[in-house]
Amino acid sequence: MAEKHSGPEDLTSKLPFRENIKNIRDLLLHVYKIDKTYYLLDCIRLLLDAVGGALAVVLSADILEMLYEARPMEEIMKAVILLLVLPTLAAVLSSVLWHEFVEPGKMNIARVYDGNLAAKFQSMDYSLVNSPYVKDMQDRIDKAHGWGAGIYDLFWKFDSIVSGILNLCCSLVVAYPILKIIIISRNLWMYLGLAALGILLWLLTAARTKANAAYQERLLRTTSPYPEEVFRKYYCFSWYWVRRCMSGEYHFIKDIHLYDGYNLMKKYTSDHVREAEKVMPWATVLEKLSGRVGALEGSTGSLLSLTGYLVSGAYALMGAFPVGSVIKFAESVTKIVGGLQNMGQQYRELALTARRERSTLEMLSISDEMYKGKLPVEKRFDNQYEIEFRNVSFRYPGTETYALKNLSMKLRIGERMAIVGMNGSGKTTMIKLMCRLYDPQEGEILLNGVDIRKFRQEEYIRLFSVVFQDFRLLSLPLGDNVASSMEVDRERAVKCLEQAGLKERLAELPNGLNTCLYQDIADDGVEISGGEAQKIAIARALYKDAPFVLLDEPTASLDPLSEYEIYSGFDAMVKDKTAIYISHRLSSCRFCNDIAVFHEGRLVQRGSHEELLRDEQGEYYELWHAQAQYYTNE
Amino acid sequence: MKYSILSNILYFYRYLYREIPKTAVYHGIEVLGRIILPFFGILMPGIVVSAVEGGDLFRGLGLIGLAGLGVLLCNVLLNWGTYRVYFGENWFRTILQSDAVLRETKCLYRYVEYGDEQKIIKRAYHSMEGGDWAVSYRMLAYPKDLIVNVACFFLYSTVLGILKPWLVTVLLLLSFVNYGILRLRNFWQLAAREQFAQSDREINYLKQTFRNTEMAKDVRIFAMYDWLMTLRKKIFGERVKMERRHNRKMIAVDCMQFLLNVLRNGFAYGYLIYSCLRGEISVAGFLVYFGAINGFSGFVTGIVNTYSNLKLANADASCFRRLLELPDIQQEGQVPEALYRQPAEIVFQDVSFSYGKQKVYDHFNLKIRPGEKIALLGVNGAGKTTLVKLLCGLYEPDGGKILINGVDISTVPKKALYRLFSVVFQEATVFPYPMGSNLSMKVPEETDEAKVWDSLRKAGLEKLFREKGIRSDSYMTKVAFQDGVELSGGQQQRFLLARAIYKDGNILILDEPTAALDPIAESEIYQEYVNISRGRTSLFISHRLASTRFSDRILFLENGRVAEEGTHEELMELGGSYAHMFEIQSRYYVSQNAQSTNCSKSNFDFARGDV
Repeated sequence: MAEKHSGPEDLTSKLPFRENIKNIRDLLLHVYKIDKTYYLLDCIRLLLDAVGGALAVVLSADILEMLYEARPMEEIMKAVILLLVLPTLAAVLSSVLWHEFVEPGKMNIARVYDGNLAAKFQSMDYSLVNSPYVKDMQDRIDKAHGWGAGIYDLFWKFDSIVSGILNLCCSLVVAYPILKIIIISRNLWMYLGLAALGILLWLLTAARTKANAAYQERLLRTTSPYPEEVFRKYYCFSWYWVRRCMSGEYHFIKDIHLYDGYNLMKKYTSDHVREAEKVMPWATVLEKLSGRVGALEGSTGSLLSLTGYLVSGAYALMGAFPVGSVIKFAESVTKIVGGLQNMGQQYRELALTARRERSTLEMLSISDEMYKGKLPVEKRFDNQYEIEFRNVSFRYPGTETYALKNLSMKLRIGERMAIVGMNGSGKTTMIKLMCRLYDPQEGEILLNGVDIRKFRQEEYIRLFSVVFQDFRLLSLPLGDNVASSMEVDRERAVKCLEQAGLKERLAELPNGLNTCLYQDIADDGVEISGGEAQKIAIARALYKDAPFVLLDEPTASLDPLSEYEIYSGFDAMVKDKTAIYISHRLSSCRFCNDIAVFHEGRLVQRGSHEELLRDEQGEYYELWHAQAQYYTNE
Repeated sequence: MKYSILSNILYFYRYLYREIPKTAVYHGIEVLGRIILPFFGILMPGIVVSAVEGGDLFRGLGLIGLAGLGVLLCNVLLNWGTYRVYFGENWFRTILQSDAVLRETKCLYRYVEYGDEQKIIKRAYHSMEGGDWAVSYRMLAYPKDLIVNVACFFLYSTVLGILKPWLVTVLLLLSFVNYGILRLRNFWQLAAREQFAQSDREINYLKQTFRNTEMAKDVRIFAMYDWLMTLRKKIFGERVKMERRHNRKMIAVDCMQFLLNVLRNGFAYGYLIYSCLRGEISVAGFLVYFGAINGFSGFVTGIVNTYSNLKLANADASCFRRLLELPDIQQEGQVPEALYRQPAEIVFQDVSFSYGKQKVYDHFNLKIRPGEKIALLGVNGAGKTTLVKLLCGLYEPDGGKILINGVDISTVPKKALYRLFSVVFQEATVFPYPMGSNLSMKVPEETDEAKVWDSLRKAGLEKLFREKGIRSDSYMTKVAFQDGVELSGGQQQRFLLARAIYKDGNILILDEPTAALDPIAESEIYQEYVNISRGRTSLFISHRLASTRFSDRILFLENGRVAEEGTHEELMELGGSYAHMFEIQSRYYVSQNAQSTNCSKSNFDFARGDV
C-alpha cells in the first residue's frame, strides 16, 4: 500500500502508565456520559455474585466440618438450608439486575457509541468528510479494531477487573481466619509454604504475561504493514467479497461470465487466498505464539489450583486447620492469587482497549474547521436573493490542482442559468461552493453583498434545493424521503411528486406515501428504477421550496420522454426562483437565457445560446455541435 | 431444500480437513481434553480431602501432586490445541468465502439476479459475516460441544449408575424438567431473534446510511441529520424496550432454574449427608458425589443448548452449502460450426420471458440479419437490457427459441455461446486487477500484450496510457490500492470498449455507454463504435437518439414488443412514438444556422463510412 499521510499507529509500543490511565479514564467517562447508571448497577450485580460465591464456599466448608464432627442431621440440614437459600437469593437479585438493566444498557451503549461514530460523518463539516485527515483517522480506527471487539471489550474488561477485585476481597475475608492461624503459628515451615506459594505464582504470572504480550504484539502488527504482494493478494479477494456480500452488488458477475473470466477470478480469489497462507509467515508464527499462550494459560490455571491444594493440604496435614477447611482455604487462596495475577493482565488489556478506542474518541471530538458566522439570513418572500462569486479559487483538500480558478460571476435573480462544460471542468464544484459545502481558498462568495461565511450555516443552507448527480434516497417511506423528515406535509408531498411526473406511479403504490423505497429494511418496499429515483429526488428538491434550485445532471438516466416532461415542467415548477442547471444534454440550455461555459476550472464563456454559438472558436460551439450533428436533418 | 444436520457437519469438517489437515489433530486433542478434564475437577476435592485424612505428609502431598499433574497436562494440551486451531478455522472461513464468490461465476447467471437461488445466495453470504459468529465457526464449534457433552453425560451416568442406579434415575428426572425449562428458554430466544431481526436490520441500515459519505451532500442540503437522529432515537428506544421485554422472560427462566437447582442440591445434600452420617460413604466420597451430581446437570444443559444452536446454524449452513453446490453451467456438448459463422444472424422465435411475476416478453419475434447494425430504443423499463441478456444466454426464455445462425442457443454450452459476444453493459466494472487482465479477463500470463495495446489504441486510450505510464501490470482502481489507476467516466467507458475489442466477439452489444459523458466524449464513443462494429452484427442501446443515425435499422420497443422498426427516415415518416421522441429531443438542436448543418453533415457522412 502506498504511503499514508501519517504512519499507522503502532499499538504495540509501550505507553507510560500515566497515559494509559488517561486513555482508560477518557473512555470510561465517555461511556458514563452515554449511560450514567450503567457502572453503578453493574458493580452491584458483580458484588452480589462475589458475595454469593463466597457464601457458598464458607457454608459448604462448614457442612464438611460438621460432617467430620458427625453433628446431628438436623443441625447440618440447617446449614444446608442456609447454603441453598442465601446464594440463590443473591443469584436472583443479580439476574434481575443483569437482565433488566445491565445487559440492555450495555447493548444500548454499544449501539449509541458505534452510531455516534457513524453519525459524526454527517455532522462534521462536509469539507472534512472526504479530507485526507478524516480518511486517515478512519484508517486508524479500522486498524485499531483489527482483532478486537470494539467497545464490548471495555465491558468485558471492566467486569473482569471489578469482579476480580471483589472476589479478592471476599476471598480474603473467607481465608482470613486460616491466614491468621498461619501467621501467629510462628512455624518456619508454614512461613516457607507461603513464601514458596508467592514465588511460584509470581514466576507463572511473569511467563504468562510475556507470552501474551508477544502474541498480542504480533496480532496487532498483522493489521499494519505486511508485504505488499500479500496485501494485494488478499485485497483482490476481499474487494470481490465486500462488493458481493456487503453491498449485494452483482452486475460485475455478468462481465466474468461473458468474458470467460473464470480463471482470472479463480486466480484472484480462491488461488490467492490459499497461496497467501503459504506466503504469509505471520499466520504460522501467530498460530505458534497463540499455541504457546494457550499452553501457558492452561498451565498457569491448573498450577495455580494445584499449588493451592498442595499448600492447603500441607497445612492441614501439619495440623494448622481441620480437614474440613482444606477445600475452603485452597479455593480462597486460588481465588486471591488468581485475582492478583489477573489484575495485571486485565489492566494491560483494558489499557489496550482504551488505546484502541482513542482514535474513535478523537474522531468524535473533531471540531468543525469552517468559520460559522452568527448573522441570521433575512427571510424574503419575494426571493430577492443574489449570489456573487468574487475571484474564487478552490482546491479539494489533499489535491494540488485547482478545481476552480479565479471565478467571478453573479447570478441573476429569478433567472434560469445553465452551466455546461466537459467532465471535470468544475461545474459541480461551483455548486458545492455555493451551498458552502466547502469554503474557497481564495476569493469570496457573497449573498446580497455579504460574505456567506458570516451567516448562520443552517439558515444559509435553507436557501438551496439541490439535486446532485449522485443523489441518494433512503430505504424509508417515500413521503419521509420527499420531506426529509418524519413529519410530512402529505398534501405538499403529493403535489411535488405529481409535479415531478410521478402521479401514476404514486397511485400504483400499495401504501402511497408510506411505501418504503427499496427493500433494505422492509420486505414490502418497492424497487424503483433510476429514472423514478431521479424524479423523487426532484420532488424532494421541490418540497424544500428554497429560493435557489440547483440541478446537477438531473436527467442523465431518464429516457427522452421523461427528460422532456421534466424540462418542460420545470419552468412552472420553479416559478420565480433562481435556478441553475447542469446537463450534458445541451438541449437543456435552450431553456436558459443565460449560459455559462466552464473549462478546466475557469469560466470561459457566458451569454445566451445565440451569442455563444456565434463564437466559432469557443468551447460552447464545439460542445453544441458534437451533439447537434446527430439531430439535424440532412 | 435442506440438508440434515449430520450431513452438513460432515460436509464442513471434511472441507476443513481437506484444506487444512492439521486442524484434525488439534480438534482431537481439544475434544479428548474436554471430556477428561471435568473428571479431574470432580475428583480433585475428594482426593485432597482423602490425602489429608491419610495423615502422612509426603504421601498426601504426592497424591495431590500426581492428580494435579494430570489436570495440568490435560489443561495444557487442551488450551494449546484450542488456541492453535482458531487460526486454522479463521483461515478456513476466508477459503470458504473465496470459494463461494468464485462459485457464482460458474453457475447460471440468473441465480445471482432473481428467484429462489438469489435469496439463498444472499442468506449464504449473510451467514458468513459477523466474525466468529460466521456459520463456518458455528458448524465447527457446536458438533465439538455436542460430542463432549454427550460423552460426558454417558460417562458420568455410567459411573454414578454403577454406584447408585436410583440416584441416576432421580437425576435424569430432574434433567427432564431442566430440559423443559431450556426448551422454553430456547423457544423464547428464537422468537426474540426473529423479532430482533427487523430491528437489527433497521439499526444496521441506519448505521450504513450515516456512515455513507456519498449521502453527505444530501444530508447537509436537506438538513437530514435531524431526521435521521430522530429516527435513530425512535429505533434505539424501541429496541431497548424490546430487549427488556424479552429479558424479563429470561429472568423467569433463571428463577425456574435456580429453583430446580435448590431442589436438586437439597436432595443431593440430604441424601449424601444421610449416607455419610450412617457411614456408607466417606467425607471424600461425599465431595466426589456432590461434584458429580452438579456436573451431571451441566451436561444436560450443554446437550440441549448445543443441539438447538446446531439446528439454527444448520439452516444457514444449508444455504451456504447450496451456494457452493450450485450446478456448473454446462461446459461440454456439441457446438455446431455454424454458430460462429461471421457475420451472425439472430432470430427470436416466439420468445416469452418473465422476470419473477412480471411478464416482460410474450411471444416475441425478431430477426436480425447478418451484419446488421441495430439501434434498440424504448422508454425506461421497456425491456431493452433484458433482451440483451436473453440473447447472450444470461437469462433463459420461459418459452420459444433464440437462434443464432440457425442454431438454437439453448442447445449450446454456455461457454461456447458466451464466446460470441463482446458486450459493454451500462454498469460494467473495472476490476482491481492488473490493467492487461482487465481487458483480456485472463490471468496475466495468458494476456496478449500486443493485443492489449492494440485494443487500447482502437478505443482511443493508448496515448493517454503511455503518457501516464500505465502498464499492462499496473493495478486498476484506487478503491483497492492507493497507487491504482483511476479513470474518469469517459475513459472508463472507452476502457470497457477496449475490453470488448480485445475479445473480438462476433456480435457487438453496447448498452447505454454514454449516459454520463459530456457531449464531446459521447461523440467520440460513437465514432469508435462505428469503427469497431464494421463487419459484425451489432446492437446499440441508448437514450440519446443520436446513436440511431449510424444504425441500419431502429427497433423501438414498447411493452415487450417491437412497436416500430425501420431506418431513421422511415420512422420519421411513420410519425409514431419514435418520431415523437426524436422530435422532442432534437427540438432544441434544429433551429440553427446553415454552417452548423454543414458541419454536422460532413461528420455524419464520415460516421456512416462504408456501411
